[in-house]
Amino acid sequence: MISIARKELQHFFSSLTGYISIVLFLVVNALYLFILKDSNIFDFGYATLISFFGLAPWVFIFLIPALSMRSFADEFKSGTFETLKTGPLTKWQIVLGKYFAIITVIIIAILPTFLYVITIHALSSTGGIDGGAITGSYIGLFLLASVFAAISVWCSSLTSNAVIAFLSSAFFCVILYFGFGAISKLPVFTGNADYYIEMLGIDFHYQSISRGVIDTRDIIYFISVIFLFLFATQKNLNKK
Amino acid sequence: MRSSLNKKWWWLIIIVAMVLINYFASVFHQRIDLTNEKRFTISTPVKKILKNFDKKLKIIIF
Repeated sequence: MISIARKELQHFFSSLTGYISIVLFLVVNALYLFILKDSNIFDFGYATLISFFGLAPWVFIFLIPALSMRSFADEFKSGTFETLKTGPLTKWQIVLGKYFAIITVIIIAILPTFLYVITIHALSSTGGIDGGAITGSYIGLFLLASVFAAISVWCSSLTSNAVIAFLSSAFFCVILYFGFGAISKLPVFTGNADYYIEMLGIDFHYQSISRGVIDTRDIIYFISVIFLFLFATQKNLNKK
Repeated sequence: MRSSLNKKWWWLIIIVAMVLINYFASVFHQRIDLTNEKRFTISTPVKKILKNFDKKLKIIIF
């Protein structure tokens, strides 16, 4: 498992994929939060990073599928999956190895954003920002990114075409992140099922953790969605 | 267990299992409030007041 993860990481950082995606994530965030007008934290006036935690999921929706679209699709296309299959590895080890390589890249992308926290903390006039809420938001962002990675790995295992894998995983990420919340707001559901439909989506749980309240319900939701998609990936590999 | 998961309907079984796990998790849950001023926790004085309160109560959430 570790050897596969290491091989995948080498692949990310020996080509431009890893660097481009990390740099793009940071540049988009920095532009949006500190430079461009209208969305500026300085003009916003409060020492919070709420706008960062609102923007980052949307960047991840495009970034994480782009990172992981090739993980299985390319193996199927170039035929190297046969070698992987005959090696002394279980399907779970292959899936988890690829998955943890993507998680590592995501962590590397998130780490420099602690600078934003330090910046806002130093600039605030009333003694810093709420550290607890920020910790909760970071945990939420990490869990959200892990769910996106699981979805993307699953989509990649469905097809041998990387572009199709990218598009379908971006679609599923949007559905799961934003779709359920939007569906629950339809007038048909208001007043009866809307709360439960909203609960199916990621956004509901992400907002809940982002406030700084860590609830076992949200953690278990994220872990079970990740497990569901990784299990489905593993099942797909058995079929190939 | 293994043979039933390998059949055609494995995904249905696992989705039902996930829903059940999430349902039980929502019945027994714990929460930790990380905010500095405990913004999302009901404070002890409020709990004290509510204990000695038996009239109808109107709560405004904003």
